[in-house]
Amino acid sequence: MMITTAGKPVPAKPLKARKGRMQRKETVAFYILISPWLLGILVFFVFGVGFSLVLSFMQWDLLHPMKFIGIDNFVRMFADTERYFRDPVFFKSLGVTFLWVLLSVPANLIVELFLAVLMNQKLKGIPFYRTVYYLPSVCSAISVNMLWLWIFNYDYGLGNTLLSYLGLPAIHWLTDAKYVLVSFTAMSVWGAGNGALIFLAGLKGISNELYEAADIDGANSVRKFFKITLPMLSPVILFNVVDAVSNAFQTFSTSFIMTSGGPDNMTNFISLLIYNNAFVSRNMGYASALSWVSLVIIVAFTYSIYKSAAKNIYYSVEG
Amino acid sequence: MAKGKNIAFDVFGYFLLAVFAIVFVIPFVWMISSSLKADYEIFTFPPKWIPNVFHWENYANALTAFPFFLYVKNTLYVVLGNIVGTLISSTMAGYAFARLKTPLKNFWFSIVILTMFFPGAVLRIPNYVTWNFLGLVDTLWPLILPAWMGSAFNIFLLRQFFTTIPMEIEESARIEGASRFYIIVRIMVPLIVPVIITVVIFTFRNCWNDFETPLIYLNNRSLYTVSLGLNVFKSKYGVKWSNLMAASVVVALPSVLLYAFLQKYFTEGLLIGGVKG
Repeated sequence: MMITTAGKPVPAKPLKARKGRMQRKETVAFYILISPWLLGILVFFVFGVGFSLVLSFMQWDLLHPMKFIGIDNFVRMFADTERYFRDPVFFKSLGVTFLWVLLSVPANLIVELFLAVLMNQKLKGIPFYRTVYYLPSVCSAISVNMLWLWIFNYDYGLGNTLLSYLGLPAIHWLTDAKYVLVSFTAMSVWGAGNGALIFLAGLKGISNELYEAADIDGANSVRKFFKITLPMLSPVILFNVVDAVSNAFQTFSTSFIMTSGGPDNMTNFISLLIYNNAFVSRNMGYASALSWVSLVIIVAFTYSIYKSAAKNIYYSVEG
Repeated sequence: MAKGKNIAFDVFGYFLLAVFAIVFVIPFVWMISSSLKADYEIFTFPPKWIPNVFHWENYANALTAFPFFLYVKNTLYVVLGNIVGTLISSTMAGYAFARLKTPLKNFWFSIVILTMFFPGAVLRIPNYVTWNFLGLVDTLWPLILPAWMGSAFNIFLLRQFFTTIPMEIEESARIEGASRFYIIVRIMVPLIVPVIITVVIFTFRNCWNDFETPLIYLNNRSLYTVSLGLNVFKSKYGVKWSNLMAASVVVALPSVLLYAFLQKYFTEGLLIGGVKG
């Protein structure tokens, strides 16, 4: 049996062999197309993870040869070792990082949901409000940091100006250990527009029939929100929360630029601690150990969020 | 339902929208107002919201006091390098994951997902060591080259979008004898313009904003990117709040303008790649 390709007769190969050859060609094409990515994975991910793990058992400052020190880097986070004193900052750093996550993630979530619901109304001019709410999250984070540094200025900043309008005393927004994380949270909430838009898209995807059916049953707005809106949004909320938690744990530039970890280590987040140990003290081994501990904590935390949320997440059937 | 109740809800809705709009806008107003004030107006309390004279020269001062245009040039090198690199490598990989079949495909794709969510701190130190070994610390290369090796997020986004394009388009081109390369370049790419624009916007913003990576790799001030530069400005001229605000406005402007002009494509691309999944 002859098959013609572009006019030339070609002997037919058995079906299986033809398919095998086609599959091989496809496989080759696949690997060629992913080869840049694959190279990156090998060099920066596989090697990175492996080397980082090895480093965490070493003492190294990039100049002198590496010295194997066993689990000393890990022990020194908790207790004195033969070589090192206990790291006095580690527990505090871990604590304030957790505190920051527990403050900023719920605050952002609530504001994002609220704004999304607000923007979902059938009112005029919504696109304008969408732009207003979203604009802060579009601005360069560094500019935002500088702006809020000025806003939180004790003597002349917007924060204390507004407080004075309300007849309240001025507060040391960034230099008072009691308030600094609250100030950071306020600044972070200013960027809630991003998440709000994602929730808005999710809200728009909720079928109207559900609400209409609830209306027929006589449900009021609050019931509709908790029994329809939230469950239907729950996958998006979960994703958003896990992402926010992961990002919050890795907050770096805000504390580096605005408070340098102070006051009294209240903003010395774990990422800043790692940075200082790696690139200022040149303690590569200890910094690697710290980064692994932080990784385990993030994974454990987000995993437990998934687990505890799983029973509350409603996965709607695609229509 | 009574009509009055409906109107009340609407009015309340407008009220809340407006209140929060004011809350969100005030920092911007403060920023711009401060950027146009003279020093004596900055250091008065209570402050005047609208300065007597608009001191536009604050902007000129800010842009000349620190080598702003040099920093912009450096940042643009990085941004351009990243955009081109990620468009090439991520589109290739995204297409491969969407269209090609191979036994280990799912395994590799799960690696993509893994790297998307993997906390980066663990990798910073070994990667620095790698770049140091290559002698590329204190150059712009560590900021540019990684993009040429794909970005997990962009690969994911592009793969999602490729899967929404019907196979028939490709098949009819294949019948007419087109090579796979021709298919990618001349047929698929024009179809995914919204997603490409989304990738460009995200990449631009990530590079323009990136602070930690330049901080780690750049020591020589003449290589600084805009984000590092603004921080240097703060250290040197911190007390000159008006100029710092002017500089901050300028640094924030490109992202805002990019969003303003490409907004339409951006939301479309996000929706297709993300929420609708």
